Amino acid sequence: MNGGEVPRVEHETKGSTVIVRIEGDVDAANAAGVRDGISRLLTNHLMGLVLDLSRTRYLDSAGIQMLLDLSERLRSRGQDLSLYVTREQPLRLTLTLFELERAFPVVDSLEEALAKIDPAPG
Amino acid sequence: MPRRQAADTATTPSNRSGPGAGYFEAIVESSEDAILSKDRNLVIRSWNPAAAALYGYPAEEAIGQPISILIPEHRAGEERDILRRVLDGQRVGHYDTERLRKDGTLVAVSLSVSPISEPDGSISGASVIARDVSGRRRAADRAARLQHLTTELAKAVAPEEVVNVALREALAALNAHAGAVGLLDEGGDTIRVAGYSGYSHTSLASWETFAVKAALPMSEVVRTGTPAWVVGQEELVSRYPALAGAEIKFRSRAVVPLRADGRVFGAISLSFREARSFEPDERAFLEAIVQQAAYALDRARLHAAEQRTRQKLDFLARASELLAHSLDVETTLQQLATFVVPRLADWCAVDLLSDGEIKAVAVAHANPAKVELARELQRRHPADPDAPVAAPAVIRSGRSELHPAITEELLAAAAPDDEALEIIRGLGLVSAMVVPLRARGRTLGALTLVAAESGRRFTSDDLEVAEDLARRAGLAVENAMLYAREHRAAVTLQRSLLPRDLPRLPGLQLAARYLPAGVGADVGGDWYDTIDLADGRLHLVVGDVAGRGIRAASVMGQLRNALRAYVLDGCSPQEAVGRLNRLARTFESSEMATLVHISFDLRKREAECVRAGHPPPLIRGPNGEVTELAIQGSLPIGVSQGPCPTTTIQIEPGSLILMYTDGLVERRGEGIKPGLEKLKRALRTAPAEPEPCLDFVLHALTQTGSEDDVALLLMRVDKTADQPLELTVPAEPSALAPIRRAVEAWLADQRIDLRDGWQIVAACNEACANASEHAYAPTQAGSIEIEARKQGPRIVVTVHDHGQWRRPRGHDRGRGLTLMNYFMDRVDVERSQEGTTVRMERTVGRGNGT
Repeated sequence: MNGGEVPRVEHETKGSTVIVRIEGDVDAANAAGVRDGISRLLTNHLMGLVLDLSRTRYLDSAGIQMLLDLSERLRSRGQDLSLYVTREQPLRLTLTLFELERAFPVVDSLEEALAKIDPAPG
Repeated sequence: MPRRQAADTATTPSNRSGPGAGYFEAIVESSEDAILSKDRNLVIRSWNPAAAALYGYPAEEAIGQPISILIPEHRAGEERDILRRVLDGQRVGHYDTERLRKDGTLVAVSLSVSPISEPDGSISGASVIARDVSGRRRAADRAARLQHLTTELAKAVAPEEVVNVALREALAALNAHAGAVGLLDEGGDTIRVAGYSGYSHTSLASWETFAVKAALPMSEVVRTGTPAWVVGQEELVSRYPALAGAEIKFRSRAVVPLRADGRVFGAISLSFREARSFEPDERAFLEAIVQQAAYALDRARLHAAEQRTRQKLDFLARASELLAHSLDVETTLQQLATFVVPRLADWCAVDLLSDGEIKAVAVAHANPAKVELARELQRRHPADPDAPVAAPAVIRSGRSELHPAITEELLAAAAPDDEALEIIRGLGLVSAMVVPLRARGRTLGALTLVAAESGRRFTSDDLEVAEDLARRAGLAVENAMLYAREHRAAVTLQRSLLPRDLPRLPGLQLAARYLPAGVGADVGGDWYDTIDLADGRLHLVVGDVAGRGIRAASVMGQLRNALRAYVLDGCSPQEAVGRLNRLARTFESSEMATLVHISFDLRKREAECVRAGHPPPLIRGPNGEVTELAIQGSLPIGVSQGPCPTTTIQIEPGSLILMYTDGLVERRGEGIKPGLEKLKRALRTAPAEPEPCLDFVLHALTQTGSEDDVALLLMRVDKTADQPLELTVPAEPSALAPIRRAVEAWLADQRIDLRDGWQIVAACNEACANASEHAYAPTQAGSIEIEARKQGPRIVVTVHDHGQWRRPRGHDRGRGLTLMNYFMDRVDVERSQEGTTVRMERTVGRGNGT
């Protein structure tokens, strides 16, 4: 049995927003690592984080916990979080089940996700 | 010396006798120079008529008066100097100074003063000859002024500057109180005031422009080309009744035409408060100044016109460049609109006629918020196609509209409804022009340019630029539309050449895609094909004809059909590709193509493969590993000479084989490698079901519009159906991914819909995650057994561990169980001494979301 798969995490900075794209699966084997990797990208001058999950296939309960951890961390720093998930992705079901849309915007285009990062803090 | 004698004689008219006395007296009397004499006490003793004329005192008034009556205060010291020199016996000649007239004014004089000697040698007084030199002084003064004017005019570049200099100098030349410069409009029937000074704003407001044929001094001068000199109010009103009552504070007027190259193009008019006459030298001087100004103004206007033309051409050239940039109509027009703002207008909008409807395709303003407002306006209040003005009217008529000033009536006519009118009013629109976009005599749409914040008023000059711009844009739109049509035709042709349906065979599943390149690129020659020989063999082909356009597409059609024929004829891939090679060499132009041809034996699960110059297909094994299918390659079709090698490969059940063309992985400047790595990564995590798998792969690789077309063919080799999945894995999180893969693959074998399948995999994943987290102590090694079987419409998944079940808690907060319950119809958790068993089931194929 080969070790747990690590999803490919790429990031890109657009203005004062960082976009993180997760390609692959987020599960109990890697969620904490992914979370910590993303946390390292969150510098103080950022307005917010856009998580691009459009190429993420599975996001299990550990992945949900990861999203909530990140959201909490960003909130405490006055930074925004928005999620890009396409309409067709089944993992939307999981997000809806745990009402993540109430914690942060979940939208179906990257542009919209970027627009959700409030340029004027507070 | 005759001069001295003359002076002597003249200064002593009373006691003179002798032969020449009358003669000299006559000379003195008739002299044009003032001649007078004064005694030692500086009392005037003699005074000729010229002196009376020069100083204003008649002889009887002057004689006996002290000479000081003629000397201005600031020259008082002078007289003593002159006297001292004269008493010394010296003569003082050409002494330039000023003297005081009886009326208090100063006069410039040149004096010659000589001593008057008595017979005993003593000096009894002095004779003075005074010449009026104010004319000479004025001439010198004027020469200096003209010189100054020339210098100033040379410095002025813009016509407005020249007008200001000319006006200032003309006013100073004749001490005028007010003045104006009027210039003939292009049309030649109106005069526009280009500059003025000394008139009140209100009095001038009504004179901003006036007709050439009006009975006004400036009009008359422009018409006749001769200056007008009006010496008093009476003459002014009698010659120009229109001026009665206007500007009564000015009584005299001088108007001189501005002329260059024999053409009168305006006039300078000067007004004077006093009623005054104009001496010939004054007239000549003013005319000289105006002539200088006329030359300078003509030059400046030419220069400005040239510059405007150059700017206009530059603007249009840049616009053309922009229009040539893209073949996508809407992109092009939006770029154009953005370019035009704010160079030509504050707002720019483009509407196109599309299937008889007016469609707003572009709008630009410097402020993005306003653009959004305009878009919203267009969305919610679309233009009324029957509107009597603006874009709809221009599209109907094909004729431009120029609205130098936007009126309330115009807005009301243009607005589709009251709400829209209210919003449009709020935009503060000032001036507008709407020009048709035309090509080949057809009106395609309209370009609307509006001035708002800049306060700019569009002129016929601006309209000309806008029309030129619209002409170019019209052609670009026409080209882009033609191109889009051709592109569509080629894509249709290509699609018509590709198989419509893929064969349905037991034990394998197929999916295919053809994606044309984006607009702006030509259609290519990529294809895929499947040939079911109904003998337990399925032929799969993916190929790529070099080149672009309809030609490549038609070559592709020939190659595809030929290959089909060879295969149906019973050829193996090696024989078929060999014959194709020979066929391709008979083509008129040497066409090159690459392909992969696989003949798959369904029973033996054996693939016989040929690869001619084409990138190798990828295979994802049942363990999820992605590799290149190791097919020995040969040269492309049309190049290859000898037979192509065949490679036979055993395909394991549960494998995915992906055949593709290089458009999927090749990126300009990057080559094929990075794309291929990306493709491998995408295929590794892609769903096991063929259709969603291709969607996933395409989403991962074609993020930005591909420059090339792409053909994809995917085959999934099923496991034997109805066989349950049985899996034992270590109880650790790293096993979760392989579990998901395995369950997914098994579900795909059962032909379970992706949505059902995904939820079953997700639920199973949670059950296994719980088992790996809670069943065993951290140091304790253990295993998880997973079993999945299909019972009619139901999928039953069992996850069993040998540890002690503990209630899920900690970071997960019971979400795992919530998920399982949500995704499955039924979840039972059974705890015993032997461990925990989670049994879950879900009825599939209901087609609902959860």
